[in-house]
Amino acid sequence: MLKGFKSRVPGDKLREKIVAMLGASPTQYRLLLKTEKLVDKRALAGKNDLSNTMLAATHVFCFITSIGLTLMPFLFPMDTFTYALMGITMSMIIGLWTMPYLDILLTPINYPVIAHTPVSSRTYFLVKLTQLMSHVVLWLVSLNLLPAIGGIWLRSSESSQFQFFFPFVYLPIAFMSGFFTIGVMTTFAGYLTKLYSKKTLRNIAQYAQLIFFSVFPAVMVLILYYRILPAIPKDKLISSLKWFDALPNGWFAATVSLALGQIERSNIVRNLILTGLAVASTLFLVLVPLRDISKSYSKYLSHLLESGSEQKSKLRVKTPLFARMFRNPTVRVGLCLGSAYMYRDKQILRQLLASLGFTFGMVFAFAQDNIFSLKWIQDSVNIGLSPGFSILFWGIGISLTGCFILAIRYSEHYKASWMLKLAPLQAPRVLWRGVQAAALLYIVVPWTLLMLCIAITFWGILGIFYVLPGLIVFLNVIALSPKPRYSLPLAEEFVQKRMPSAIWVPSLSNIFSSVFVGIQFLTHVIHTSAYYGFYSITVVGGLISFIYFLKENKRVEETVDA
Amino acid sequence: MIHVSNLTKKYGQNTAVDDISFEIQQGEIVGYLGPNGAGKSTTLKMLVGLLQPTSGEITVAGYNAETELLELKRHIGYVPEEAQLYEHLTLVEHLQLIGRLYHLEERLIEKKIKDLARLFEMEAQANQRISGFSQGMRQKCIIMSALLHNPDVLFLDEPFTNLDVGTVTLMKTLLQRLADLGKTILYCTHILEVAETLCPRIMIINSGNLVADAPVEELRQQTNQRALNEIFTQLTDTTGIDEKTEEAVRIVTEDTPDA
Repeated sequence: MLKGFKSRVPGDKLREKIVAMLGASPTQYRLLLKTEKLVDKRALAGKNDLSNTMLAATHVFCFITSIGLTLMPFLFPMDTFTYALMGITMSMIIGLWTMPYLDILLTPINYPVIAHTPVSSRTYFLVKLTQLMSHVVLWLVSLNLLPAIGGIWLRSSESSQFQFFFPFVYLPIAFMSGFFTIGVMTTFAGYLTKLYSKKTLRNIAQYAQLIFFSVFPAVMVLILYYRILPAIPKDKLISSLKWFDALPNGWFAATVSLALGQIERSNIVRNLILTGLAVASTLFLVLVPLRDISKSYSKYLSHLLESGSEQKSKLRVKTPLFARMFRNPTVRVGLCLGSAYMYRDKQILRQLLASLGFTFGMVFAFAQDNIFSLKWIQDSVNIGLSPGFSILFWGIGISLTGCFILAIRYSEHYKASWMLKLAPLQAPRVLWRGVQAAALLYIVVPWTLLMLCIAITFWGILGIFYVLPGLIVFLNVIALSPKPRYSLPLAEEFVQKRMPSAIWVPSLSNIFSSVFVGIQFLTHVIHTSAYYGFYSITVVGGLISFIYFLKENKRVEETVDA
Repeated sequence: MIHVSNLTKKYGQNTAVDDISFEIQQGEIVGYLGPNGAGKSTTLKMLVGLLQPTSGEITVAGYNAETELLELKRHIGYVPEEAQLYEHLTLVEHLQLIGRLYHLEERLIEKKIKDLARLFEMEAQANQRISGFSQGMRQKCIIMSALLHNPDVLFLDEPFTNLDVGTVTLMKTLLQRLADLGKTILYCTHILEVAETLCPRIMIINSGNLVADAPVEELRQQTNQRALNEIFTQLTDTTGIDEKTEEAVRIVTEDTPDA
């Protein structure tokens, strides 16, 4: 008896009609969509790790995050513009973090299997687009549903009778801002750039995304600083508003304000212009890339099929800096693999550069004394305790390290693992140590040195004490990072649903940093000696635990390999 | 059935296929030979529409590869060099998918899958996932996919790789019979023995250029060589084998040089 899957599933008729209208084959579309889902589901079946539920957990996480924003109107008197600005900025930040995952979703990984069958590139593109759109809609709903409802209770002097319509106005505009973000990233950082014929143009486009990675989080910090904290003078508040008008999140927030009739008479023209900008830019950024992608998708598919051999010929394997420091050849191999991956995966490099740019940007912005002040970063309540500096240092540092480790663990270069199995390596699990060393040498060390320079500028030689706890945390994050299941770096099978975990890293690292710094602050409030005690315990204990985990890992590795 | 005119494929400065032209008639089996990296697979990929040629014209089964690609794909079967399959589907599911993508009738798909699985001795694995298959089983799966929709033209890129002797023998006779029924077959390989027994006509490509296109007998007369491997060596300029062997022995047995 042959067991296969059913040829037809009830429902989805409307979607198939749309597909037919767009000139694709509804039957092939349905079959391929179903196959992609089935293959993804089966790849994860029976595996008892977190990645199984990562996608669902990410949406739950987004939903929980949105609760914080929803509570804002109940805690602070807030106008529609600020509330919408915060919600839209949050959507955009999460959208930016999600982009690598969405980019992968659009990449035709399984295309070579059916490339020779009569499936049009348009049909295949619509399959990938459906997968992408379903995730985008789910992400936007989980992030914006509660804030949309919460907006009804906004209390401000300019409240209007339209306030009850807030959810109906806010949700479509928040969706529009989500599509805007995707449009921006598709144009500047998505796979569309791979087709640009000129290398310079391609590089410029790819690095243009740095602006977006840096700008949106910076805006979030500024909003929190100027619009939420009650002690901000009115003139500073108004001057800071000019910033938001220049940025896309401001355009969308202005659209919400305009739609609800919550604008002062003098601002009508400005808000109309901003609304026009929001609508026009979204249409432009969504329709133009979509049209270009659908037209060039067959070219891209062809590019994909021939790029394998092209990439291999271009790949230069170099012995990385510091490789000679490691006597153990297996560790050295791991280090080489890790650094080669870091070099090849431009996303990691971009994240690193974006973080550096963001830090410099923040320091520069706050250094403009007439508008901002460095207090936020420079405020020190005790030796080694500056909440602003610590959260900036730890949050970005953990996020960078985590993203690198995660990217290697779930890399799609698992096909290269056979080479490592063949090589007479004394203990393959030791390879992971090389990857950890790469994270330490190429991410933690430069990042720590940069922050040490800033700390020394602020607090002189005492700056070392501000950097030390963060460094210890990074070391432990590296030592505790989970090893790949199959003992080799670059050895895990690529599964799409695992990728949303990338969203967690920056968010969780920020939460972790805030909690840790919060505890430090609490001990300081209790008593100075309690703070010093806690500080010493964390630094000494962290160092001991790092050495312990390193030795323990080595022992386990040797046992397993034996 | 297959018409190729001034076909060229360039990767940057590197020319993989350089201005080749040939015609293959219905019912012919043609062996397409060449050393590694000569441009065999690249030619085949262009013929089945996987790669876009830099220049030139391709017509297969009366359809132009540039303007009627989907129609062309409906009439061909392709066995690629590397087996690309949906790893997490079962053999039956994979073949069902392929059959449905070609819009075959459900009853026909089911019957063909059963018959092909029996023919290739894969009945026991029919409902098992491909991820657990050996290389030989995967190759059988690929061949079944290529034959499922009764194509007019077959493009085979090293189709016997990893197959057991029994299946290779079956395939040889099957291809012969299919050619008798009017199917056109372009068989790409670097194993000369199989090409010699299966293909009445041989094309040899070297560094992207077509250096020979004639029946085996004619090639023997042209080159004054009896065996196909000698003809191949002469046409592809693969000389100096003895010197190369000596050098290889020296490299393999070499010790670490003294400091």
